[in-house]
Amino acid sequence: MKLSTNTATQQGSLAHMTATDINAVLVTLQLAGATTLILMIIGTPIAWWVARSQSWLSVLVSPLISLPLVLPPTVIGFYLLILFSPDQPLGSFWLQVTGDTLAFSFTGLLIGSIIYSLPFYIQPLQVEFSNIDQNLIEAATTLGAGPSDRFFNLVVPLSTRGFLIATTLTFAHTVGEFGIVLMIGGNIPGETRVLSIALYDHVETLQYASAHFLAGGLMLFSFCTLILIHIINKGSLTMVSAGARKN
Amino acid sequence: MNIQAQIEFTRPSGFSLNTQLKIGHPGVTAIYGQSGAGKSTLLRILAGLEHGNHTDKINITVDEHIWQNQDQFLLPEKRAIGVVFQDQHLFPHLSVQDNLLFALKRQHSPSSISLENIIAWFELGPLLNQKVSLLSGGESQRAAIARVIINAPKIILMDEPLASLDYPAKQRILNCLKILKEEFQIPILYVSHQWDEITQIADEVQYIDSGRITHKGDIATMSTSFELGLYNGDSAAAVIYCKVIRQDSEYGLTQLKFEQNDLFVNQLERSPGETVRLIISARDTSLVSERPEASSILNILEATVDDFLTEDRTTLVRLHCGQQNLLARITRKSADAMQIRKGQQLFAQIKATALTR
Repeated sequence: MKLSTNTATQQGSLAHMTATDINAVLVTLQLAGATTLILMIIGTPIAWWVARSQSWLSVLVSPLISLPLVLPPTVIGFYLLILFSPDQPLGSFWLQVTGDTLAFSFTGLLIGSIIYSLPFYIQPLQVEFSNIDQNLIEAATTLGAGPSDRFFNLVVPLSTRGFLIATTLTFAHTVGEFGIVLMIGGNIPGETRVLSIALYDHVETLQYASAHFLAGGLMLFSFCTLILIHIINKGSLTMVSAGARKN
Repeated sequence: MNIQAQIEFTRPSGFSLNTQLKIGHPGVTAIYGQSGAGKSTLLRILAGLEHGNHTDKINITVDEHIWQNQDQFLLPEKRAIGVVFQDQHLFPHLSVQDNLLFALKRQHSPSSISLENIIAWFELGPLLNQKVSLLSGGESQRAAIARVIINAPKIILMDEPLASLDYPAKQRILNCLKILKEEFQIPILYVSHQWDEITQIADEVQYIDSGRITHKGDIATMSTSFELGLYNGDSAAAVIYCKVIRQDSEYGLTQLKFEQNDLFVNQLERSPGETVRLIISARDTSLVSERPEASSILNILEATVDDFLTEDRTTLVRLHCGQQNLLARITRKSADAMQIRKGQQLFAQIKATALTR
């Protein structure tokens, strides 16, 4: 409402901002989508292993995965930046293969996001996996189901709630990422300029109207995400009570 | 199917199983023993659900196939076994029908077993679309057993399948199991600590105590053995085999031949010539020293005292009747009055209504 009373120059700049903002939205969605997808592929087996393994190694791996929960994102960003630099093995390898540096690229940002969102994907799934009754798995085994058959036809359907929460949290968390992006992504429009960075930019340049627009949008998105997670959890609660009624 | 196993297995808790097992019997072999004797562990090892570690020695051979030895381990999903657990472990995300289809899709061997027949036998028709979580204990167990049979295993292992059920549900499933035994030639290994279940369905009994099988024998011998303390309480009963002679529809009775004697029981749906198995409870059998002239009791059998066991108020007498044994529980007072002794000739009386199949 207020925006319509602004002067013509301000409106012009707003229109300009909206175009790059839309770009930022697209980059953010791409980043969040790709992070979620890749975590589904590599995070699921890790979650299964951590939930089910009795090996002493899982005692070390589990806290390692949770590190991003307590560390400032800038710490992870700092180490990644060093890792990505062309005089380090990973950075130089990447430079040789692709002719491009990892730092300040979308791929670099993606690697950072995956590491940073790892606990948000793994923990809900790990909880879900460790709650699966071992006896059901044994029953499926004796019915002739091999490991992958058991996983896809028993474990996955029994963990639907865990998968929903894990993917929703990962996606939302990646959308809200800031510190790591600032360290390793920079601010390249269409490549590494994500929403949180765009918002930061607006505030820096005192474009509060645009900042409001983005901040409000992110608020609304996060709120809706949390409502969704709440509904998923509640749905499973009614399922649990139906199961309890049996006894 | 011929199963041979030598097992030396120790749990970290200290419990150990150290035994040999041989099953060459097509019918129901019961593993009987008290809680904690190692019955379930034995069954889990056979199923491959318990692997053992390098200090354990497990050798399992089934027919000519090695299931497990020092170098080999056949995965449980490849063993073509069916396992019925005490808690049914139906898949909670599937309906009853989908649980059955899960097993059908993964049949261990091509099978002529028809889904419709199984559903009818186990009376699952009305439950097919139910959520598993809404089934009663008995319904769940019927569905679980049906699921195993549809899976077409070569042997079925049952681990206390009736332990968590009330009496009517238990009896209903026992009747299903008797049908199963007659209709299919699938050997069943039946683990239980309930002697009354075992007398109803087992053909052979192996007794396990502290991780070792110490006694085994056919049900008729084992049910009348004094050695194992199976005679305790009300469950003392002899299992006998008889031949059907004819149906006496006028009186609603079936006439059987038990060794040299005629035996009348409540009508059984069996044709003449068939062999039936009866359970005669020790407390339903009374003894007389002379054949009574007239008695309301239909079944009076000539018998010889083989052995007897005097307890606090009662005496348990084992009788030879031809090649088979009977048990009679009489008061100690009567035993003294009749001067019960080994080799004594007398008559056992059994009411027709007291005979259960």
